[in-house]
Amino acid sequence: MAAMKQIIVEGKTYTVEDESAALQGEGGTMLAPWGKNETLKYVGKRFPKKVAREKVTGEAKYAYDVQLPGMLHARVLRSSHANAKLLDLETSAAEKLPGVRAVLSHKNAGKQPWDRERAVFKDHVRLIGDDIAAVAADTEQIADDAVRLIKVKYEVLPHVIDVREAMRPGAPKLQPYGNIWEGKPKVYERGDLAKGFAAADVVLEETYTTSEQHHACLEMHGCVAHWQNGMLTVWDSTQGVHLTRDLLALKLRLPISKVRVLNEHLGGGFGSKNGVKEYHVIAAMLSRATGSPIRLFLDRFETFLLSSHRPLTIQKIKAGFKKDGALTAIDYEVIGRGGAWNDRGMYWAAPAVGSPTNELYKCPNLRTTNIPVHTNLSSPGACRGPGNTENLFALEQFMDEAAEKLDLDPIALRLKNFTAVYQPKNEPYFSNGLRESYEAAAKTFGWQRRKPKSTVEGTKRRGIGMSAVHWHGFEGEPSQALVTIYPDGTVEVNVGIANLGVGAQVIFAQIAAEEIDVPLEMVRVAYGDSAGTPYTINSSYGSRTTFQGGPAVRMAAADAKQQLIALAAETLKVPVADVQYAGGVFAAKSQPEKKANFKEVTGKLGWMQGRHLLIGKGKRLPNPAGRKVDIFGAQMVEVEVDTASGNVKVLRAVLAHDSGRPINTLTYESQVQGGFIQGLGMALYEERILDAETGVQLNANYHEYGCPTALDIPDQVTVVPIETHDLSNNINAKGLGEPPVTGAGGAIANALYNATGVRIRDYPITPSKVLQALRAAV
Amino acid sequence: MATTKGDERLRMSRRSFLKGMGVGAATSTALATGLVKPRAGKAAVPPLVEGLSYVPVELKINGRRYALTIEARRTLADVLRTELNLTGTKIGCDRAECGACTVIVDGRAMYGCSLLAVNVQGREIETIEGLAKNGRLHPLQEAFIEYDAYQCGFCTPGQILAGKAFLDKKKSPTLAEVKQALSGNICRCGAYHHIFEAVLAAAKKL
Ligand code: FES
Ligand code: FES
Repeated sequence: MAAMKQIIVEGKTYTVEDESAALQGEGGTMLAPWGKNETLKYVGKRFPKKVAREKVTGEAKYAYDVQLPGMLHARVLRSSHANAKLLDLETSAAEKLPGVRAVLSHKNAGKQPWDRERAVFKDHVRLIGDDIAAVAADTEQIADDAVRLIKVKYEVLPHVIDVREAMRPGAPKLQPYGNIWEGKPKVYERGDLAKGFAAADVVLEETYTTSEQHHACLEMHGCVAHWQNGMLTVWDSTQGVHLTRDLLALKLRLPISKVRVLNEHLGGGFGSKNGVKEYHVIAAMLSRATGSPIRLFLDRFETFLLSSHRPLTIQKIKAGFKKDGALTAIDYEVIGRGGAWNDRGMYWAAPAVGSPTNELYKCPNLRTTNIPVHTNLSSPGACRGPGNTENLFALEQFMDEAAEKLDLDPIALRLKNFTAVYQPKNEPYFSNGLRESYEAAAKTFGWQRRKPKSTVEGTKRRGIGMSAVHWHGFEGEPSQALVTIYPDGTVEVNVGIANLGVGAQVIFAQIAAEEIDVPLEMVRVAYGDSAGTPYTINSSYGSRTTFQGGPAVRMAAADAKQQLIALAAETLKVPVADVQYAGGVFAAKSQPEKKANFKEVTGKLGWMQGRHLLIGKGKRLPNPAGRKVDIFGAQMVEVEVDTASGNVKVLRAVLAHDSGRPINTLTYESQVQGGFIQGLGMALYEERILDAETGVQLNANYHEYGCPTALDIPDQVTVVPIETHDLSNNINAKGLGEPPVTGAGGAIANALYNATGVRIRDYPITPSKVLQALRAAV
Repeated sequence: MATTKGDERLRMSRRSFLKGMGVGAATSTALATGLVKPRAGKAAVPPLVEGLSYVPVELKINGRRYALTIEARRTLADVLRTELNLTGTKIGCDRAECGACTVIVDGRAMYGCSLLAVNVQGREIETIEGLAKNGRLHPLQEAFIEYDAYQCGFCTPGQILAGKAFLDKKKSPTLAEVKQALSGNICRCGAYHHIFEAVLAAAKKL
């Protein structure tokens, strides 16, 4: 048990675990977090990504590109009704088509379960797109032809698409417990709500809706599976090789050691490629049936329809304020549209939404009601910044409305309700850079108290707006890494991660180079193969890769360095304690003339010297107890609204983000800009538009869906890293990938209001909504 | 009772049938009018083929000649990837909307998913694999690395080729011109700002 200590936060005393003792590693290696002003050589600098050249030459192999000798192509027949029983399924014409090698359906593969309530191939479909049958053929085109030859007879049953309709009595009941997930809303409460509202000078209530944003990863969802000699190998478009492997083993009842998952490059995930989907299992089954490798990728239409999406939410916020802006009570309700099946998607539909409301502002009296609702649709899923994004799009517009009503500057209102304590557990944060983010963003942006409709030019109006950024950090997870030092002095970091493209490889290399004090080019990172890597992270979700894996890499590098020092002591013929190491040179403290450089020492390794390689092992330890990790920031934008067309253009943005210690300031910038652009898309353009009757997505293509293009983004996007000295782990990192999405909606909607005096509480803020609101306002 | 062939109804872009109602499917649904969504490259033959039509094709790619026998309905992007293992050309939508499949044909950036291979015979086709010469990266490729102009990299070959076709014609472009030139290439990771910086920096070196 590590030592406890007392700290005072906002006038209150908290007992927390001491960080220096808590970070003592296995085998006695001490790795306290880097100091606040410690000079670091590689960490905190700009370095291009490690896996770079193959990306620009086209040599990078994504799962989508994998081609194996004898590989067959698969396509899936999907249901065309939102709720129906299969009366008949006729596959013989498909089977007879030349080039077709296998056809699977519930008739011949009905026993393969998907989860506790359904098989992989359904005989009762609950949504348009449910898997009915699959074909493997010599080419994708033949597989496609064959799927079209399968005949299905359905008994069509009633279904429901609209979330409000699904909540009404008499709606088709999709689950034994009804249409609200597990029978009733989930409620979180603290304090005394009635008392809080009674104490308020001003009470405000508004309702906001967010749309179904789709991940729209450029690489579609799919994999290549090869089942050979009882061993399943899968090249997968995945965010995590270990999670996919573990789940495939579970679903197919295979020993974990007989499943291998690879991912060298991933063409976008954003939360949609964690774990397994039916297509993984289908590809494996077809491979087992044919003895050939199977390539199964969804097409773009199927991807939009089925790969998961951010849920549609309806959020009602009611809050009481004192005249000075202090919150007295919040009553918050979120209805989220879920899918037909009782799966993890129901958690993302609503329970995941709402943590900023619970945590971001100091409020003693609060109630949060989550209502996830089943409908005959595919399940929503985690979409970059899941929950927090939906919530902040609503909450941060609400705070702007409250500031207006209270006649306070939006930043002043937020600062008034600032808290350094994680309220649900009454634990202080390790670090909280929210104030610094507001300050730095305001300074860079030139923020000042705004007058509505301040800038006018013809039909164009300009305005500014801001939003806070919030993302929840995580507990320390048991992450592992290896660092090998070779006889020639090169270093290999071995980590069990996929390659999302955000630069985890260069970040891990920087951490190892820093710890071992070797040039960055000497460090290579091995990753992307579940069979050859330790468990570093199950899958890269939650902005955890650097936060969980980085400390393990540093620990492994420190372990390797320790071993190297022991080897140097032997080489120099002095006791270990007498060796000092800096700048690639080992020297005896007692006899400074006794020296050996890095390669002289590593040269003692290897089989020719009768020695093994030197392998450092590292493990991430839990965060010191008693404190919470959360991630903060502030985003500010200026928009120009054309009152003639309703078009909203973001002219510039300032994005200030606290993610602990920035490890690589170049890739940092890419992450923040990219995240903000996805948020901008959700704020202004993106939405799955569904046919109200059937639930078929009408804009299931890039053209009509509306991802931001080069012409939709501001010329100027300034990223301001806010460095907080976080002591939750030995590299001071907190995570960065998701928070940049979360602030865009509030900032843009508030700027729109500042420009025009109208509020759009229903995202995305399309030109037609703006025009309608402008017309209603005159 | 409703009978559908394959997933025809699923692929309708507009609802043009009645919603089936009631247990036991008392009302039947009208189906045959549904539009099958056009699928690029597969539209050359009707979806239910009797026999496959193979044709000889000769393509000139990155200065080399390739002779192949392929189904006539196959697109250039598909043939590059599947027949020639030139998988640097990506497919993101297969219907001329994302730019992942961008190749240069006779000096112009074009969507490889929307060209039939049989129709580009005799033309000079450049793919991402042909850009580096003797192991030396093209200045655009170097700039993409230096400015971190990608995250996942799946759009990158298309962005680089769109940028190259543009810079081959346009010296010292403005930011607005660069944006316009790349507006047919979606980057879902949102690496646009670094892409613009990279293209502008490469323009100075060319
Ligand atoms: S794949 Fe050709 S434009 Fe998208
Ligand atoms: S880098 Fe991922 S789509 Fe552009």
